[in-house]
Amino acid sequence: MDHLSTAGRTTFLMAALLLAGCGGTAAPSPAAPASSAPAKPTSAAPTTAAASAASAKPAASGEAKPAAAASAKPAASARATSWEQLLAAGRKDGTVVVGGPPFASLREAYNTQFKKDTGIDLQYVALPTSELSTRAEREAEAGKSTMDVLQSGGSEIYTMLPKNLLEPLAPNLLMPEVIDAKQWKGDQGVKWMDQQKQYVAVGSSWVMTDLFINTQTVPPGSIGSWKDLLDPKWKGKIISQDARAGGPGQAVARYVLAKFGDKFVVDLYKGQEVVLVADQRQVAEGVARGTYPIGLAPVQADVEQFRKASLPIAREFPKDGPGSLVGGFSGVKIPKAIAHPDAAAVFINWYLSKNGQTAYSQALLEPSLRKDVSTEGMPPYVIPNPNVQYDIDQYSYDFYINSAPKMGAQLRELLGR
Amino acid sequence: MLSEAKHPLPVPADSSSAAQNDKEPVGRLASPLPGVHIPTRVIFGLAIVAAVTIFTVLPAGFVFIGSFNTAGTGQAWSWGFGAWYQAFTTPRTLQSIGASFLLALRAPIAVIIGFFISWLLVRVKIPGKSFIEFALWASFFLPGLPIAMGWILLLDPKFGLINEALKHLPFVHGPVFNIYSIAGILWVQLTLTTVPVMVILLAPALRQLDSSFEQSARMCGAGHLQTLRRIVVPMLAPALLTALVFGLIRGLETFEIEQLLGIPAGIYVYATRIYDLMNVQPPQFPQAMALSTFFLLVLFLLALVYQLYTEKRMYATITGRGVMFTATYSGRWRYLATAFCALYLCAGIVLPLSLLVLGSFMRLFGFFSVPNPYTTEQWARVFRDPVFMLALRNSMFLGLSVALLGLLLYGLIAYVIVRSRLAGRRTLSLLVWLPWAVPGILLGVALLWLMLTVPGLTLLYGTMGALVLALLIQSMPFGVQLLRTALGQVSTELEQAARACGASWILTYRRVVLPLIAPMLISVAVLTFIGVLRDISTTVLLAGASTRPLALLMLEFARGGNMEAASVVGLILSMLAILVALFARRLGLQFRSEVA
Repeated sequence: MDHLSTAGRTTFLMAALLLAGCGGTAAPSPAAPASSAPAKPTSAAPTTAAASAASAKPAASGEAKPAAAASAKPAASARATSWEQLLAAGRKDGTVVVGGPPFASLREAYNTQFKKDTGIDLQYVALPTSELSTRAEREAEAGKSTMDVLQSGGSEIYTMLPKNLLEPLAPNLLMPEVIDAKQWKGDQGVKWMDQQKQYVAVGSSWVMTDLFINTQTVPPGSIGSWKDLLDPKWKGKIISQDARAGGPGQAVARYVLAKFGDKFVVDLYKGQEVVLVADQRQVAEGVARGTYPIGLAPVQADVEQFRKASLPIAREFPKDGPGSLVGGFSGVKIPKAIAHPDAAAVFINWYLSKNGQTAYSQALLEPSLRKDVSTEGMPPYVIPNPNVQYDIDQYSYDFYINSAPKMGAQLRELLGR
Repeated sequence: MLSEAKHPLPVPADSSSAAQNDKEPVGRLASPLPGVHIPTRVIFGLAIVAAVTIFTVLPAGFVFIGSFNTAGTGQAWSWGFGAWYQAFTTPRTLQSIGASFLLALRAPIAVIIGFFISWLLVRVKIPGKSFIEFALWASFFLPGLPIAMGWILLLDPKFGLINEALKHLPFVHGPVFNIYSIAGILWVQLTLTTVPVMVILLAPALRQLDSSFEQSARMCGAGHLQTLRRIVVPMLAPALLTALVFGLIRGLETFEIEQLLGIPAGIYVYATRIYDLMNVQPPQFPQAMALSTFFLLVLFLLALVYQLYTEKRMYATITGRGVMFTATYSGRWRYLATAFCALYLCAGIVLPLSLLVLGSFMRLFGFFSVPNPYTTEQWARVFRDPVFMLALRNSMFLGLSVALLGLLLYGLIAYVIVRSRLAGRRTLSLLVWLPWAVPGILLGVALLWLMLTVPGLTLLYGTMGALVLALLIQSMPFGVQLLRTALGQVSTELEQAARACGASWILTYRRVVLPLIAPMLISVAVLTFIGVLRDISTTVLLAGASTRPLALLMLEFARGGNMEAASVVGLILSMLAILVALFARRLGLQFRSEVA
């Protein structure tokens, strides 16, 4: 029976390797040390008996296993009625898994500050927006969410909310500085992207990075109007992130479509032979290098790298279109069937607090909606000017739900599907 | 020894019996073997057929069925052909199909160049052959995105360094090269992956070819080219066809270089179009799936043609008669051939690799005139990143697990296809292509669905086991088809000799078959390892915070605008791959000397 024993050994080896794979995640992430005690609480995380009791318990470590449908816990708000209770419950969860945009700076900021403020480990799953949304939707449908918090724009309003795959956040907002409306710009409290004001909270609002010039080839201030871009001398000399796909390229295209109409969009993008690229760095690099004198929709994280190296790239504000307001990746939501509901609720509160917003806005250079978060170090062109009336807020419910999808489809028709 | 009736040259008289033996199925060989029960082996074979069917048909079926969903985002499922109509009435989709087929032409070009280089390396044994082969392997390991950025720096029509240098020539009035073009994409793909992979695939097959056939032809008066045309090419036809089909199918799937170089010129290909459809708001999954299903059918037909062809023309080149693996060519032209290879390596590999290394030490990739342009900060940043070591461990674990498990599984599947007469084995050989018939980004979605839906697999979800399984599925076509080709080159008379001496079929497989196909096994293991190290699309939807591999860390840096740190991670990945390849090569040489 040599063949059987050999086959058995082979099968055993394969099973062992697969099992080793299953257990391969047991090693704690260096980013989230299992035994580290919580740091001294900040003002956002007051010391309580519950907190110290929780700190005595080792934090959960390693990979966040999916919450099995049967064991998926109810929303955190079912139990906690105060921030202290919620924080203590969150520490019992031990870990929160945040799925967010692929920015190492954001991951590092969260890992450091959240742990320091709450004593809870944070694991960060870096995913591009569409992949994040796709994965979260499939997981929540199967009742096996591995990410406790999702951070991106607001596309889940189209995809997950209609299927009842998001948990409400509003009942879990318990931190005093978060629920105090006066801490937020306009004194209106937390900004929501959904109609129910329950599911998608937004932390920042900034001026979209519409139009940049190479200051060596285009004199600053010379683009007084968007219509100046139709000058034949700029034909083939404008670069943009693809306006037909989602993302910053389309945000700018939607803005000019709303302001100036179909014909202008066609005249600009097709008539001027705007070079559309998929990689966002190519836009800022093209302008900084002078290959393209004008760039539409580079993002500030890229632009600032070149500006810091003294390269001649600068924002231009046409008088007839100073820009629209956007929220970048600052939308947060909690999917159904998560493994750490209390820790997730703690993260949402922390994210909307001064410390959380400072960590986020400094990492991604997106100004916060909170009044007490400094804009120091922020590029001036993204900070909303109080003397300017921005007539389009692309992260308002009305625009995001009623206008943006139609305009996206319209742009694909105008510019070629 | 040739096992087919239509021999290009006369063969010894016993060839017909060998040919007969080559066709002998496992099931029929069972009875003479002591202690082997046919039902066990049949069950074992059927289990393989069933497992492959589940893991290939379900993801492909998910994509196929999804293409008929006409519901809007967030709505309940409804059936219809709306997505198909939209997909195939859209000009950009139609243009992407055309461009994909045009770019697929690189496969036959690469087969010709790759075969020629392999022949120079293996048969002619040109001076510097080891270094040249090593350089080609190294090229295949280089990360696509930073290398493409390097080519932009060299060949951009507006600022490319080569174009700028050429402008100093008196007869040049404008950019000579434009990297944003079909030709540009072809060049980058050919030099970076397609030609190197052909050499990696064809050199082991050529090594398994008994050189006495060529010597006999030469003694009969045939020239170099005639020997090549009449002996080497026909005997290697299955391997050449495998490489061609491999190149065609993989060529249709490649994504990142086409996205970087094609979209600025308005060139969309099948894979970038699918990415495009999945990235609009809301995502157009049904359209993407309809387009994918169309290509799935095209590739399925291609696989069918391949199967029909290879079934009739599988040559056994390793027989019990003894083999010779010696150089059969000499002359000064060998130095000219080395010069040709060196030129190719300099233009295609050394230049972009130098830029990649340089870029990893730059403050801003490709900006030489900024203050203090060089820094080691990017390397320090990557090594300081707490995720780096974890991701490195994960990559090594995934690479080694999938490569080793893959060898076992792919070898067994290939064995069932080539040697058995089990019901469904022909279907099996078609099914193993399916994971490549679906583009990576959609395969990732399908595997995510599979892991979240199929009972049993749900236990794996969120663990490294899920990634191992997904990558095993993703690498299956490549591993099985190559081993299938290699097995076809081994005559069954060697196995029969072992069985006649009392060895079980597993022992025969382990002690006779595996050593004989060792060069190809090593190629498959190394290429699987590299494929796993570089994979992004299959793992991006399945990896968690503590299961993420290095390639996803590279993606994080690249998407976050830090191309310099991405270059560092890319170089580390390449170095890892090269180290493993060197180790495997050493192992292969040992195997080879033992077999010889």
